[in-house]
Amino acid sequence: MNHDEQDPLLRAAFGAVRGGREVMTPPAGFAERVVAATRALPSREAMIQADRLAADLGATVVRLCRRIVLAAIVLFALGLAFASGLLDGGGAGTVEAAPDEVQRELDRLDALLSGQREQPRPEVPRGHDRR
Amino acid sequence: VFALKRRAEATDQELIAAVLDGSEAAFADLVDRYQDRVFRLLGRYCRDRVECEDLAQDVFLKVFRKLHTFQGDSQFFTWLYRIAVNAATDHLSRASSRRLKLVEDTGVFERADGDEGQPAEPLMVAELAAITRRIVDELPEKFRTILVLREFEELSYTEIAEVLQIQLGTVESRLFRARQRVKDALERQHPELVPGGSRTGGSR
Repeated sequence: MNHDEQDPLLRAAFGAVRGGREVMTPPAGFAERVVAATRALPSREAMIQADRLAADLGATVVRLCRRIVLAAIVLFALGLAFASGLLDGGGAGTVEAAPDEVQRELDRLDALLSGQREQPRPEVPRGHDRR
Repeated sequence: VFALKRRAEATDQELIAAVLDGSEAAFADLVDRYQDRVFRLLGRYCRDRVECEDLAQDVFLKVFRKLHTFQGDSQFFTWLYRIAVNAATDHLSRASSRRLKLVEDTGVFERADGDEGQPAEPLMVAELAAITRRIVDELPEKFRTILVLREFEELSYTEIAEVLQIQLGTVESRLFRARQRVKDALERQHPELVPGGSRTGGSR
């Protein structure tokens, strides 16, 4: 019985439904009719196999969807990286060189600077006489 | 095991095992055991006997088809109820005109505005039941179902949670809101039912 229903109005209303209505009952021979209807169904093995097939298909679809989503995430991340310039090798003004090459360039610039201090000369355009 | 026992002694699990082994008699016993409860439950959703029988047959056929998927981690009847509730709600959503039909059927119990001023008859139990049924029928499906399971089928909260596959807390909150809606509708549509209203109900 209901002990959690305290409101008298609701108790009366639900009680009236519980007690006041004829209950639907199965007709005679209902179980036999249902059993007869089951004979038209496929065999148990066929039903199990169909269920397994449906489950496999569902799993495949889920796996495919998951891969598509994963690929979309990777593509989006790559796009984001390109857009922010992280993967833009030439356009971001980044200079890449071997360490010895960098050292040579630094030495050359040092020499250039010390030469300028000793003998001022007209300004040379930047990048000129690099090689 | 099933063959050696009398049908009344066989447990649900034994009957299920026998059905899965191909026993028609075991399935007939399983139907026999639960047909009253299924009909009573479906009767809350469909008022027409033929419609109810068709729906009950569909439910038991689905039970037969899916019996090998029953894991046994819940009671068989809650699994059966879940199938029955789903079948009933699917059926209701398919037959969209049904609700109108229900309102027509129970319209006799509605208070006609033209009756105002005439001496009011005290509400009888049958009338109160009809009013309550109509209000419950008009609730959104989730509220209607939880009220049917709790108030009319008298399932425990745990059983409702198993049937509807929801948390116990959700059962409590949904039930509270469903009851509140019924109470509001009763008070709004039939103020005479409220203690201290224009007239007192004769249902108690």
